[in-house]
Amino acid sequence: MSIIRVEHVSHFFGKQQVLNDVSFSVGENEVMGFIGPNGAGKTTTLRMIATLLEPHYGRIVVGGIDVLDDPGAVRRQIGFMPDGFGVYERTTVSEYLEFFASAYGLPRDVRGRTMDAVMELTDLGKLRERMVSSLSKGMKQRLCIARTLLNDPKVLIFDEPANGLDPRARIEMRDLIGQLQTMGKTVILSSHILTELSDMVTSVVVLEAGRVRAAGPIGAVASLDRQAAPQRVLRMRFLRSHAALDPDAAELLRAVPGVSAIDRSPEGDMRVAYTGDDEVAADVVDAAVRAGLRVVRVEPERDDLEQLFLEVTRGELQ
Amino acid sequence: MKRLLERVRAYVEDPNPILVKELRSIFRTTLYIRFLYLSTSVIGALVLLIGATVIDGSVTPAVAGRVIFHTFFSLVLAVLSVVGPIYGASTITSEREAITYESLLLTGMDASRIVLGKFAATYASLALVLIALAPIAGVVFLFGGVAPTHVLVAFGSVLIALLPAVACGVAVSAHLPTSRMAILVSIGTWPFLVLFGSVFFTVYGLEQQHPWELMNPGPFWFAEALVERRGSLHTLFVAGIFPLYLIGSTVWFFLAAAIAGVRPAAEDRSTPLKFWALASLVGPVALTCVTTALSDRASAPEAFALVLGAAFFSLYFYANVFVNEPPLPPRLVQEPGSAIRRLVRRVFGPGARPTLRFSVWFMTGFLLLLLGAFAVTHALVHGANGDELVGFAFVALSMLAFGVFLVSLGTVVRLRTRRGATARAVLFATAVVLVVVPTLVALIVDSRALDDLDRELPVALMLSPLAPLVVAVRVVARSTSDAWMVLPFGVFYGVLGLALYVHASRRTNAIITQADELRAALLKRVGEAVPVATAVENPRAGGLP
Repeated sequence: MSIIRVEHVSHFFGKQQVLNDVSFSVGENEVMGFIGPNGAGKTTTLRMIATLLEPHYGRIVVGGIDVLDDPGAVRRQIGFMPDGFGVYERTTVSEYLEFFASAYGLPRDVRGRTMDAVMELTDLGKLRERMVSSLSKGMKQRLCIARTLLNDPKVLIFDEPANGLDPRARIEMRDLIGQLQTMGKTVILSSHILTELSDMVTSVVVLEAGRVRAAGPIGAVASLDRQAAPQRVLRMRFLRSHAALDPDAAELLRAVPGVSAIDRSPEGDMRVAYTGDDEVAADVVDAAVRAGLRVVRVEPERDDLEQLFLEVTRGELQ
Repeated sequence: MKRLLERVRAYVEDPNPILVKELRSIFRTTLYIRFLYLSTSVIGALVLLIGATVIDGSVTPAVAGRVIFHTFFSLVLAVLSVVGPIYGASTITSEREAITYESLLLTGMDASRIVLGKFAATYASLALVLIALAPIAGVVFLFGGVAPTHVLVAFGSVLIALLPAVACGVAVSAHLPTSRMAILVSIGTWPFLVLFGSVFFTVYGLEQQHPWELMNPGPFWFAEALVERRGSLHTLFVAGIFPLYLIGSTVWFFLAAAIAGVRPAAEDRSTPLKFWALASLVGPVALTCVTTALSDRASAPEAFALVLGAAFFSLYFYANVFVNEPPLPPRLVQEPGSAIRRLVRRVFGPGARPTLRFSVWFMTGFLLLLLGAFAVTHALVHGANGDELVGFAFVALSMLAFGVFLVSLGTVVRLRTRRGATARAVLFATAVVLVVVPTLVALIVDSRALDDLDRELPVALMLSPLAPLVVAVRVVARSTSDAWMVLPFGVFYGVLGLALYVHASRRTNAIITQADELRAALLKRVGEAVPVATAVENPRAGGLP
């Protein structure tokens, strides 16, 4: 069942059309990746779902409520963390959360328990008396997520949540989003760092130049992508003694059904271009072993999401 | 009463979170602490310096005490009149700049709670500066000449004068994107208004010195007047109630404007300003009654002509307030309520057409109330005065015609250009051109044309907004038969205003109809194509309507 429905939405900034007939839906308890190049209209769409912007045409329904009819009711169902979010630097962590708990209208007797639960979930309990200004970017990110959880929203919208985080903070963020999903939350993540999303999302919407290029569960979109755009690349590395590619071995690999081209990357890896699914990739590896090459590493040249993104988008900019 | 006490207790136990957060933030900044030190030390040093300069043997200690009294409170008022708007100007813009504003809006807090929290926190922090300065006022008592009650009243007046200063800053902050812009606009307006008001009030105090026999004239003359003549109704009105009304009305206006600035476009932004406008009528009506009653029979029309002239200027201000309404009424106004409340909301609620209707009815009511107040008070205190009343009625109707013209013109420009700033610029330009050009023409035709305005209205000024004012002066001068001279002005702008009103109404109807059709077409389309839960290619949309 869809918790968010975006139906034929268009939006203009002045005379420039930034969204053109955008439609997609997000099911309950999904983690949806909203991907697209800079200027594609991701933030505009997310801000409209969060009731911060109004669609000029079309309709957005969150939890059965039109964002134009009752934005207040929609706001009670969502937690939104904008890109480049801000925090109140001259408060402590607990004061910050207390302020938002009060602003959300939580009763006084509930506030303490809610804050404790949220701080435990986001691992901020030890920092409760620290000034916000002294927190790292990753911790501020956590604090901002903690703030969005205070009113127990059904939907969480994070715009570029991994932006500016170090690798450790990104891993922690990924784990936290996994936890939120197990709690039954629906999460929408936008990012242009696709590797960050690929491990987390269950569905994607690919947006480019204000239009939806593809949308749906990640597996279905990927298979659609393979039917439409069959070219994939496998990168293989061999032991040093086998680095110089034997022409016969290359010929053997080229003979594998589905393989269309073989070349070498600047790093010395072999790049095998093929058409088809993972069966073909397995055949390529088998052929390399039969040819006597000692394989030490095999990987798709790009992860599925990046591949998908590149193939469904056309490099158009707004 | 019980409910009120419960509400107060609930507020004390769980205060506005914005107020608490802002107070914490303000008191944790080094800038605030430095300002506290700097203001107390500089004002203290200046007061001592002035005291030392005055005490050179030529004046008595009592006179020196009075000089220090006025100097100290003038300095404090000047500093807070500059700092108040500056502090207020960064309250809401700082949220925008720190990218916390949207998080705040998404909590669902009402705009009025946000504005009042910001206002109260800024006011409290500056009131603390005044309290920190209090010991310096004690220097006055070293010299004498000023009673402690005078000092208390002066402190109270500065605290009250601080209210509109902070409210002005908050209102500007709600409408501008950056703190820098808001600060520049705030300090470019409010301190000058305070300076103008202070000079006016001081001169007024000097004039009152003889009849009231004030010992302590100066900018804070009313401190003595209110204490020493506290039994006098006249003193209470002139030095107490009327200034308090002006300040209260100003604070209300600024806060209503700030709430309108914080509310999203989809919500009702104009109703708080309409309530303020209705409440603001009390002052001019009360002033008409009081001045008519307190003046003698001969000077009562003169006093009313002054009030009427001020009301004419205020019509221009009201027109500016109400021309920035979008054509479509905000969607989020269908709140449940009584049938009467819904009817009033539909007729005079938000949206260009109801607001234009409200403006016209408001202006009509305003001028009729003034005329009625004058007629009734004059009849009760001085006896009936039919001739002058007819003359003033002509003048008031011509003013109303011009007011309708202004607000209709502004609404039409707003509907055409979709920009409130353009509408206000056009109103300003129209007013300036209509005053300046006919005046220049009249002077070119006859260089002494303006010298005899009390006897003759030049033809060139017949359509100038000066015409009703000139005729009002002639009515005061008992030339009531000349009131017809304002007829061309009234008829011209009445017809023009009516035409613009009809045009604005039709234009608004057309926009609403177009929007309804678009929405109906869209809903039909939405019903046809429910979007995806499985992988799809997006159906390519054609051009938008």
